[in-house]
Amino acid sequence: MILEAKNITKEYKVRGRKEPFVALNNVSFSLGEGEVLGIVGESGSGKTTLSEIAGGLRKPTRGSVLFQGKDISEMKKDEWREYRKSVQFIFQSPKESMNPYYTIRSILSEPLTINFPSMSKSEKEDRIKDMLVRVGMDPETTLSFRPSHFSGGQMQRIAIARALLLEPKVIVCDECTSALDVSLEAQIINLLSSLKKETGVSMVFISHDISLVRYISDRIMVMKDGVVVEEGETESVMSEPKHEYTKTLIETSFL
Amino acid sequence: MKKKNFSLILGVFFVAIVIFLFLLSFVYLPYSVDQMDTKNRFSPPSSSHLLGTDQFGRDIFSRILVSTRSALAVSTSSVLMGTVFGLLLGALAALSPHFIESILMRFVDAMMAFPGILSAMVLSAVLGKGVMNASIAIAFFMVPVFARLSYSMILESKKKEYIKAAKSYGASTPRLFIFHMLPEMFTRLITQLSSSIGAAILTESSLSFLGLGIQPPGASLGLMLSEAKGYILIQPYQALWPGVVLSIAVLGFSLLGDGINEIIKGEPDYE
Repeated sequence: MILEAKNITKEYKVRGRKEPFVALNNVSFSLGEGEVLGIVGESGSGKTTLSEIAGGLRKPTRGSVLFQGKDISEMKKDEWREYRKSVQFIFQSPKESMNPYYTIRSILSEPLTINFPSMSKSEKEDRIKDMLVRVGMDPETTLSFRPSHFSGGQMQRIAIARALLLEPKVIVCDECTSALDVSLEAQIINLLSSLKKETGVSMVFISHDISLVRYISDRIMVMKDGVVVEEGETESVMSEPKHEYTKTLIETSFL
Repeated sequence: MKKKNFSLILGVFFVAIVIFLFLLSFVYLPYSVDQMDTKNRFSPPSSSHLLGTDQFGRDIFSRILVSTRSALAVSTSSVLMGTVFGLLLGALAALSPHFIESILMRFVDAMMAFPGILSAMVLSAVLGKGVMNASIAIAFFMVPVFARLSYSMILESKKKEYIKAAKSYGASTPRLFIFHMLPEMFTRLITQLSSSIGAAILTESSLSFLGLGIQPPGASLGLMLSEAKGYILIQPYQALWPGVVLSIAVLGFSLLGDGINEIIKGEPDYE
């Protein structure tokens, strides 16, 4: 298991109320090496919160996250750096996930500068160019422009390049195609699955659309109101959904 | 059709006048600030005294030129101090754990609740009179303004997805602040900076008017107004000129701030 979440509970205090709002209630999952886990649920089901906790961007109220068997809350500084580098995110809105003030060159070199302080400029440039080619962008017409120059689909390719630059072991895609139109959605999914085959990276793929998740996932986890209602191999969940909510999701997605 | 930005045009024009007077004071100063011409007291504007003389026969034009020096020196230095400390305080509050944030921001609220001119008066009474102390006193009430502004801007940008992204690839908090938050805050800080300089000039003049800022025989717009008020019936010019220059300076910097603000608001979204 490369990434595990154990009994995660996340509560938020609500002003003027004694009872906290429970965003996640005792949720666990595990992600094997090279595996793709799909998390499906409506907005507000806690899937994003869960992914951010697993990725170390938020702290859970209770429960623990294990990376390669080690609890991330007990990690030493260099272990944390390794973990931080190994779990990368691709966010929902490609435009908002890049600082509009910088060129693509500086946006892509920042992760390298932070994580490999001794890397030379030309080596960074080579790595970035190489990665852009792999996600289907032409480095010559990309590097010196700012994010506003690109379309949503192009931006998401660049975002994928940024996530892959650090050679992560896990990539978390949080609704990473929902801001794109349908034809681009398919392109990005295909790109992600071919990159997965090439690099053997594990993925957590989050979406509200179960028909999309089934294409790429080995296993599916269905969430509703902060709890997991169903979990299993993609094929078995899709062909014999046990929970009412999963059935509804599958039915509505083919409308 | 594009609407003309009158605030900006007028603001630049007024500020240019003040800066022109300021620069002129270094190259052309007809008389020294304390040079008395007792035979020509209260003289009307003439070829030898461009704007007339005051109760000691000192040249009003020369005194106004020198006044712009203290006005600009005190206001810019105090606003810069206020910006730096306010920015640091606001950033510290916004990026700290919740309980430190609460303590710092309640402190800023308390500072803000105190009337600016009153705290400046208290401070300059405690620190003593003079240019340096006046700057510190004015800076003191500029701090909460900039602290609140930067605090709210950082809270806003903390929610941005690119900040989350930068965190996810390991950017440290100082790095986030310097490379990802400051550039965005920059334009709005400039706006606030310009309007605050106007307010600071006014406060410097008020302090000098009350006898807490620039000391006689030095020259300050507020001091000149204060001296002129006793002779308003004999020599109205004496109050008119510093009053006009003060209005131009305060109005100029405030309008400039508004004008820049209009430009920023008019900027298209990153779409």
